[in-house]
Amino acid sequence: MAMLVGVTWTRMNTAPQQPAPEIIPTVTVSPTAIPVQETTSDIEKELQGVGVDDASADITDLNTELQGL
Amino acid sequence: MVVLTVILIAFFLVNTHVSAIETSSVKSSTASAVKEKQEIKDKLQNTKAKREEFLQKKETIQDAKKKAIVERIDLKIANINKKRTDQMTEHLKKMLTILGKLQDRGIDTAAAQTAITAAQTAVNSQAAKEYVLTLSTENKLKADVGGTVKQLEQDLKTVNKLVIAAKQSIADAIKNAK
Repeated sequence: MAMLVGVTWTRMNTAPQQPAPEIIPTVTVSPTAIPVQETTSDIEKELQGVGVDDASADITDLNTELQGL
Repeated sequence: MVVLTVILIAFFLVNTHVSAIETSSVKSSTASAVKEKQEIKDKLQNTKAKREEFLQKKETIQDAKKKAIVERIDLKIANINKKRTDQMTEHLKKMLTILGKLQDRGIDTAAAQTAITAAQTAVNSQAAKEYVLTLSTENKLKADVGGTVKQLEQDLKTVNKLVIAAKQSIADAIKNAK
């Protein structure tokens, strides 16, 4: 009995210790979290991208159809 | 006691006068709204009658090929007007977003705001338009249909000029702020 207790005691103390998993703190940074100051030039470029094309292509199509009348 | 009576009479008279002005104003605006409603109703009935006339005339076209062209053009005109006015509305929305950014920077955008509002009003009015082909005789189909196509072209150009002017007014606001 004493031997059994001894063996158990030994095993408990000699069992390989698993290293505690290292907790690495992770910080997620969203791209929107960093405010980027838009310059007036950026706004100007944005305005240039706004299309104001006319309907000439569509009207040309209608005029082509008209030729058949 | 006499003073109190005079004050009460004066209050009554002023109150009655204000009430009369308010009633007159309400009557005037109601009459205006009724008139406007009637005008819209008349316009719709007129358009409906024109469309019915067009459908009847279209059926009298003997040349099947020409008839199909007339049908196609009728459909295309409505589609083009919708497509173009939708696009212009989108452009004006983008301009409003840009305008907001300029306002956040303290840039004076009053003129640009006015120009955008004017353009949007014109676009809304254009979007509500219905083009109905007026047909006379079969040998005049080209001229008849061509007239409506020309009208659409002219109308869209007029509205597009206002959209361009709105864009230019924003560009001017940026330029002035530099």
